[in-house]
Amino acid sequence: MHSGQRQYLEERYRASEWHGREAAGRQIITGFDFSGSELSGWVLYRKRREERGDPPAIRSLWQRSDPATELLAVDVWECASIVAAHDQVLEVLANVQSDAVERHDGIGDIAFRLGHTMELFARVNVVVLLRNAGPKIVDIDPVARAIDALLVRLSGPRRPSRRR
Amino acid sequence: MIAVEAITFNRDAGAATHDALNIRKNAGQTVHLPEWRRFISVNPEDSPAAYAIGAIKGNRVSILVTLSSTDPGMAFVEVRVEHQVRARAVNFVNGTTDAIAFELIDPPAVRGDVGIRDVTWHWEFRLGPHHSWHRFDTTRHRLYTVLGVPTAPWHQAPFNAANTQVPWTDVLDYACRWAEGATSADMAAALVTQVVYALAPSIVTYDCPGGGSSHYSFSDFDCTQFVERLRGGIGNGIYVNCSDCATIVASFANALGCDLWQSRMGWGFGLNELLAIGSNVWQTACGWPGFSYHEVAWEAACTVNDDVYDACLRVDGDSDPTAPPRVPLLPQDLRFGNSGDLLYRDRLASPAGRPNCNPQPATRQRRFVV
Repeated sequence: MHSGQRQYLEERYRASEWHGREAAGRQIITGFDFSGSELSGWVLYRKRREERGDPPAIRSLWQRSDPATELLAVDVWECASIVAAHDQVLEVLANVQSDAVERHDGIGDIAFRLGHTMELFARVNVVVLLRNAGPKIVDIDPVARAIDALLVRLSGPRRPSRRR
Repeated sequence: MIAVEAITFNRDAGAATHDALNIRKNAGQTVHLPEWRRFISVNPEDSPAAYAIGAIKGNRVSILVTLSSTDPGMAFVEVRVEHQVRARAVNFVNGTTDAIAFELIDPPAVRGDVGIRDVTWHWEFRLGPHHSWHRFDTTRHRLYTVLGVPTAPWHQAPFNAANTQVPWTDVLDYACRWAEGATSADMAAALVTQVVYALAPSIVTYDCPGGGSSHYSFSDFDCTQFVERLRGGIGNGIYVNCSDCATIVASFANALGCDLWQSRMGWGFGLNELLAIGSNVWQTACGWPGFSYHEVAWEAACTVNDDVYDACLRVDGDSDPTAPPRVPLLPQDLRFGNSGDLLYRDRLASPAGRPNCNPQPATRQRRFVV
């Protein structure tokens, strides 16, 4: 990302308040993938792993009824660390044109959204971007919460470290 | 009986001055050489070849043809395609010939403009100068004409199956039609820009629900899915943003030999009212106050002095872009300009936003095509 754009985004989204903050008591998630049964009411239309990027991404499309009308794009990046995940959040924001995207609480460790039609959040080291991809606009909040719940289960509580 | 066994248009993978360019079908499929093969190549698209006007100039263009004969008494004959392939003598040895060079009479690049032609060649032979011509075979080919050797992200080398950045016929099928008749790079880029904007609202539309996020260009250009979308499929969905439009325009135009970049301006600036792709309502994009950034197809160094092609939106083209009345203007070959120049910057950004709407040439790129 261009340094000037990063500086703009860090100020615009007050990154100093959240970037690199530990996800309390959570373990790093590894091997995340979609099997197709994760999102109730939605059918996995297509899934593709992109290995060229760093971090690699899972790009998925989910349909409800006709994929030409109700379609969700769910992109997932599994990062090496929480810091890397928060860098990826900024990277995603650097490809969102609107200046109306706002931070909100209640999902993930850090989350941004535009109304109820676009959601970007990080949970531990995983970054998720949910967007409408079909002409019939759907509320993506339930889907975002379902994915976040899945990530919470996968991250589990961190085991206490043993002292000798 | 005489038959055409094979035709090679791309004779020399190291040059495009006397023959066709290196091309492939898409990310996953190559174009086999020889392009035309007996019993295998049936339709024009089975035998594609692309020629670059700028590389060919006035050079003679030739193809390699292998012929066969089942008549053991036939040793020397003349072969041609009337008006298309210049007649020459061929020699059969044991019923076949070597790959023989035939000169094209009217090679596609001679016309001097972008195009795509499906041709049917009726091959004829005669036993000697005083004999009549006899038709013996028919071959069909798809011939693309581009302005110059495609520029990045497209590459001519290395010409092998692993190099997915060799120009795709899946892209040329659209780009050559979109820019048909163009005789200059500016004209071709402008035509591509117009057609991409006109894909809305049924094929693509601006991503208001997603905040104007990239669906086809983050971070590679997902050209495979965009082409699927053009063909009526789902692709990555209906929404695009500025980066998608810039990437589509630059990649498709550069396949024709244009020389555009994808480059950004920013950061965080207010907008004049405009028509985002797919919208017929004059407003700031989706009603948002402004853009965090914007990206366009851009010429040269992508600075204030260079021209932009923006298929993502139309601006107000009259003497006061900050107020009605509105005169829709699709920015094409329009200089970015400084504040007060009444060029692209002034038409896109509000007066208060212009100081933050600056070219960011360090962001210029040509996204890898997948």
